[in-house]
Amino acid sequence: MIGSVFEPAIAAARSDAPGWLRPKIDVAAMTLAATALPNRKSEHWKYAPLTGLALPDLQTDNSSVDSEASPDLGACRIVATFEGIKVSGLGSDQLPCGVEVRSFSELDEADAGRVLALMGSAAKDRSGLISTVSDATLGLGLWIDIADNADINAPLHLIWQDNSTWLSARVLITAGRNSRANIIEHFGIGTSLPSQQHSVTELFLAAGAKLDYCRINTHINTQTFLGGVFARLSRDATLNAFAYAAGAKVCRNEWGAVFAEEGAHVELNGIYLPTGREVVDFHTTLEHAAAHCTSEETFRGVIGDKANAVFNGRIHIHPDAQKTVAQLSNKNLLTSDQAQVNTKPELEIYANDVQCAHGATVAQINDEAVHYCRTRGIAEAVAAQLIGVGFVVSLFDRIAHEPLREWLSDQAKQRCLALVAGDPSE
Amino acid sequence: MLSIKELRASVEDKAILQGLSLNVGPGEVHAIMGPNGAGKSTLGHVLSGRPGYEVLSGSVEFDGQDLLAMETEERAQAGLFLAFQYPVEIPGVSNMEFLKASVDAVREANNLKALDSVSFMKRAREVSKAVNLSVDFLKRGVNEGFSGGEKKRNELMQMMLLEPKLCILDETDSGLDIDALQVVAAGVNAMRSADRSFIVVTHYQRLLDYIEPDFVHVLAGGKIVRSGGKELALELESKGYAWLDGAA
Repeated sequence: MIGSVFEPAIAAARSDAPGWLRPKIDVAAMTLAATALPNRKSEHWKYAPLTGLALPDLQTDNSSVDSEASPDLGACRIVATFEGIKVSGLGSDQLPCGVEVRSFSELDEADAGRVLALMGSAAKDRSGLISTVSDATLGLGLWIDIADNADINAPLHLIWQDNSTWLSARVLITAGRNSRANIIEHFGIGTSLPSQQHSVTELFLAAGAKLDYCRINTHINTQTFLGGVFARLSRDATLNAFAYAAGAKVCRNEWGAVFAEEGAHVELNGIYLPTGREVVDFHTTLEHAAAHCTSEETFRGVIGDKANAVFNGRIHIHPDAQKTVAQLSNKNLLTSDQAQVNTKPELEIYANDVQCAHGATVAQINDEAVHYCRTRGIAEAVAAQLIGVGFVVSLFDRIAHEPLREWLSDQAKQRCLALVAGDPSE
Repeated sequence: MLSIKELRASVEDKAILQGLSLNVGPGEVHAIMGPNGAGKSTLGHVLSGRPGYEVLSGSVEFDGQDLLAMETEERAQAGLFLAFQYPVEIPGVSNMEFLKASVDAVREANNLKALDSVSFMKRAREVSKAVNLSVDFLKRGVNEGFSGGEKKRNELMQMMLLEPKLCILDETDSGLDIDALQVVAAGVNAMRSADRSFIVVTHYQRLLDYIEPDFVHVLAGGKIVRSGGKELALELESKGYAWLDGAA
């Protein structure tokens, strides 16, 4: 049972978490105690099962962290470690006006009640496993609250500092009415420690709120990441989301959004670049529950060597969600004969006046294009890198914040070179 | 510059080149004409090192080096340029990025300092103007959605930027209207110099009205069956290729 795998983490959560969270931890722990580790027969895990998942012994090693490695994205940085959070703003150590960041452990009774009521009320992952593990092992919890009408210019760059072998991170973001904000959440930077990380981030967008949210996973191939981003959108709210995943032994991210009220819009773009024997798994679910909402989802991946990518994108149009416009596209480029991708777009439509489109493609690198580059003096590896980057690069244009766009496209260029070269450890 | 001796090559076990010999001296322009299936395009592909084209025997010396022993990119770096009959589209890779990667690679291999971005941009704008392509094409994906004529002019632009020693134009005139043909021809003529050679592969004599060759060769049945001056092209134009059947 999966409960026994996480026993030490559950025990730690029980002893460290504030009292108001304990009942939640207990309920989740009981569920896990009765749940088997997902294997190849588990529908939502069959292409990247968790068989053999073990929790590493908890160790903290600050010397393994290279704090210089996290990029300067022209943002207000919030570095979260086991010791707490550290803010280094632009020109000051203050958060921008209209933003509050608080650890779950420092909430008063009223705020704790508000957080507790929201937790788990956005979308959930398909099997419920990621949410349940997060509830049962609740370690570091942060509540980021954006005030009504706040217009936050500088992005908030939330960096989970990997100074330990184990992390369970929980974030609640509440974007107030008509607020504007940009949040970048970053995992797996500047450390060589083999680790396992669990993270659930819930986004609550009040009416008219506009939130840009980017999740970056830049791990190394001894690290495992299981996470989810779950959103709930109120009337006329807009979520512009971006996912970037590279590296990691296993990197599973589930994205979910509930369109709870009319006029909401979600744009979700994602890029994944696994190589070696890495596994990247994206499961996304868009629940169109209200009328006149729109969604545009585009994921692209370049998969090298013996890596495995999974993409499962589901769009669910509820009976009342008339006039929905939903688009989903997933394109994949395999750079080696042994790379694989399992892609499955799913449309489930119960309303009769909607526009939906979905598509998925899998292609191999075009030998003619490589040859063409070579006839222009460009070495084969550089040619394949150019072609790989070219395959994903248009998506970066959808990132509004320039330093983030530049940094991520640079990361992708470096990754694409590694993708073509294969895993040196093999 | 280029010396091809008794070259035999096959594609998918089908013998195409059957003992082709050709000498191209510095500054010379050689036109290669011939009927469909004679091996004209194969010659360009073999010289560029295209995968799937197997050399069975013979030798090719380029600028004192054994061309056939070199990788495709090494041939380009040494100064060989093939303008494709069907240039390849590379979606997402901007023309500018592609050209910069190409020029950088060739300069690096020749121990030349990399051009800084400003100088490169200036040069790229100059050549795009010279081939009558709007600078917007530099921002677009390589050949992505280009018309046939735009693709050919893009090839010419690359040639001008790379300043190769030997340019092979593989049916560059096909699919071009008369205006585009004149632009391409003017570009080629502007590049003619005492130490740069050209092999112009073409189906029709028309191109040779604009690019005047020093030599004309007829390729049939995988080898050169007749060579002459530019007047040979006119003879072919009036007589066609049928009379060659016996010769091949």
